[in-house]
Amino acid sequence: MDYLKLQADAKDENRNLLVVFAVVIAIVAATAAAVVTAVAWLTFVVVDLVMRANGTPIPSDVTDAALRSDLALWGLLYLIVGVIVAAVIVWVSRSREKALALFGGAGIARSIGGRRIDRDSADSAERRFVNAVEEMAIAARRPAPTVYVLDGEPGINAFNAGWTDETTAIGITSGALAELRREELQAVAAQAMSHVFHGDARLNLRLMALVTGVAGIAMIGENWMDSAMPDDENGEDEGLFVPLFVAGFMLRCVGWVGAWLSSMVQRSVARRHELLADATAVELLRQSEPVRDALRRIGGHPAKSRIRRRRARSINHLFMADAGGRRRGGLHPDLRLRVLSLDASWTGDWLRPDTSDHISPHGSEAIVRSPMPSPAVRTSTIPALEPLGPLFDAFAATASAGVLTDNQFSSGAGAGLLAPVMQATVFGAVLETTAEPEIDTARIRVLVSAIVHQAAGSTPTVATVPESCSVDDVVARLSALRRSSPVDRPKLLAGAGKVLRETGDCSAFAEAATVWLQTDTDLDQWMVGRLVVGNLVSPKPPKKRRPLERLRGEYATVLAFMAAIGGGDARIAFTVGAAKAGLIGTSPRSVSTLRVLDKALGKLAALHPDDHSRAQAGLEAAMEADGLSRNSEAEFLEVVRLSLSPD
Amino acid sequence: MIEALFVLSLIVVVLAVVGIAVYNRLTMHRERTRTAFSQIDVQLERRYDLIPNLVKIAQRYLTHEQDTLTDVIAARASATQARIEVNGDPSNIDAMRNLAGADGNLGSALGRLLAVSEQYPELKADTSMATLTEEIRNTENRVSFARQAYNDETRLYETYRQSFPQTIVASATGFDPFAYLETTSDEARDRVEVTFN
Repeated sequence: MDYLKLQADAKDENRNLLVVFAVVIAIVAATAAAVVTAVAWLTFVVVDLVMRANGTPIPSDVTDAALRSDLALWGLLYLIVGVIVAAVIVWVSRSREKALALFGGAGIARSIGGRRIDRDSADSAERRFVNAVEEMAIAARRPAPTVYVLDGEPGINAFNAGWTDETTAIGITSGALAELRREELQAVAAQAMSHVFHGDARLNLRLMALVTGVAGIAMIGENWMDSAMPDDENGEDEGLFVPLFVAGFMLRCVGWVGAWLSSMVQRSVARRHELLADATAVELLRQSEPVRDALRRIGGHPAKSRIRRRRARSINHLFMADAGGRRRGGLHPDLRLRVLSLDASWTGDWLRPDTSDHISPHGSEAIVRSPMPSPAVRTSTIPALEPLGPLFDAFAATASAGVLTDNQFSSGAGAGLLAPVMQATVFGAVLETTAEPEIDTARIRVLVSAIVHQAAGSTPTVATVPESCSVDDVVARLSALRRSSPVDRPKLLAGAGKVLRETGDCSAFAEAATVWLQTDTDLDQWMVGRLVVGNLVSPKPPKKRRPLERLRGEYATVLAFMAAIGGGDARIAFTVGAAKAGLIGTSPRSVSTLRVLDKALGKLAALHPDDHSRAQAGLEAAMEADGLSRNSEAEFLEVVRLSLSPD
Repeated sequence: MIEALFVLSLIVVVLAVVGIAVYNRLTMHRERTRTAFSQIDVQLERRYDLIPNLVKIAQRYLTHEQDTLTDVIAARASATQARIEVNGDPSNIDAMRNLAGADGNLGSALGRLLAVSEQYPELKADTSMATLTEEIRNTENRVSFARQAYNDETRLYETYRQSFPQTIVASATGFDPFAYLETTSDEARDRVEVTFN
């Protein structure tokens, strides 16, 4: 994690937030003013029309000269309403901010049942935490805040509250006191002090007040709607005052949309500042392990960071990790993302309570790792293959040596259609098995057809497919090949590509295969096509290489697809992958058609080779985000790897 | 002639404004560094005050470790003396270096005492010793975080002071360099070993 950049970004963001405040207020005010002005204008036009129809028109000097044709008047109305609306938002926000700020940090801590602790506490864990807070206050060059404990909370969490350095309070759950070691307690204190350091509590308060201010417009709209309704108690038959009702309704819509927008801003700022606080905690401690381990303990604890008392959930944004409740999920970054930001080599282990044993995030569930080995493994020598007959032995020997002469090829493999069979076998192998055998067979049939088409030069029929190329034959070979180690398969596949390039016109084959494969354009066929083409035809070197940051959009498309086919929570998988690729903050792109994906992969071919491993690491992280690697995910990873153009 | 005078006075005014701004900035940095140093001073004093308590409790059990205890007492005495010599002025480079060395010695002597005390179960079981161990740990952390904060401030001050054109203003108005307070613990440990041998 680049702390300096993150901090510089946060400072810029604080500056930009003022602009965001102004823009939100301006947009809401302008829209509300437009609504009110338009309704007033329409009302005037309608009234005028009705009166004309009744034969009692408004004197034309009033209608034409003064109102309808006089734009300045309507402009003035628009401006006045806009200014009033903006003033209302600012006023409501300010008074809300003042009301919230009346509670100091201590007030908030007490309101959720916090018990104050100090250095003289009889409990050694409490004393340790108070000491840790004081230490971190010294490191942050801030006065030491008062410290509270939330009794009876088994989860691991902490909060900070208060709007000035002097009135800040830091609270911790009794669960955290019991579970965390001294260094981790220090990390929690550092994290809380970082929020104080950056003034996050006050910032959050401002943003929440803004949400209230904008929502105030909606309240006014509701009020107008109420006034426009016929008043039964009066006994007078007033009827519905349509213009006021319409204006009220539209104001309400504007208000709620504005409030929703500003709450989105608030949540996104809260999430970013949580990551910033993690980074600052590392800076204060000068080491990242305690912060990382404190987060890993939260993930490994049965109660996680949940807070039992409901009142505490209303201040979820002040907590270090998600306190649970209705507004769950929006205010804190995913815990895995946070750990990963601190330690890019983290493998997903949480820390179990009481012991330092590492456990899998999925308990006893078996983790199926990617069948595609990492590039480092791929370069190792091939272990002994299972006997697959002389044909396959010859091929394997060649593949492991990396060189194939025509002589070896013909002596070991014979002539005629042996090479196509081999191709079909090897390509079939990389496709892996699916859950349904019929799909497997169908895929192989497509491959065999394509291969025979290329070898024979004509569209194959049942009669023209030779005995040795039958689907059954290939399936039989495949079942043996699949028992071989996953390490061998990509090597074999690469070897097959090499063989083809050296012995024949592989681009013709690839084209033929693609044409065949395109007859059905479902995902499965697409994947086969991509694998075949990618293995046979070296991509053309692009004219200009681009860094991953410049291809962010294309990468987001590919990563979103990987996350979507994973079966787990696609949003989390995407976020984890993006973080691993160093593109925190990228949002996923929708992949509506395979054409979109094709296009993105095509553009990604221009990725600079230095960024290849980063891009692949991101995809692997997304693949393994749910702890399971499916075959389709592994195949897709291979497709992407093949699309990236080497030097 | 008048134009030349006008241009000249304009230049003088601009230089004066820049000079005042730089001077104020330098003063701000210097005061923040001094404040950070006074924080270390407070923590060091706290640390030196705690040591007699520790020695008193340890003496009851560590009858065979008089050397270690004597080392701690001696190291404390010289560190206290070094602190007095610095007299709250971090620009006194030599005194600061002495303080860093003496404090490093005290740190390693304390470390040895705590390591030795691990071998005495009765001492470990003593409740006041347990409290004191946390106190000492807390104090050590306070000292090191205060030192970290001071060094951070000093770095900011020194970077600003040594940059151009601030360096001109600084040397003309007497902004002295401040010394970093590094406990080169390796160095300190080496020195202790020499005295032992």
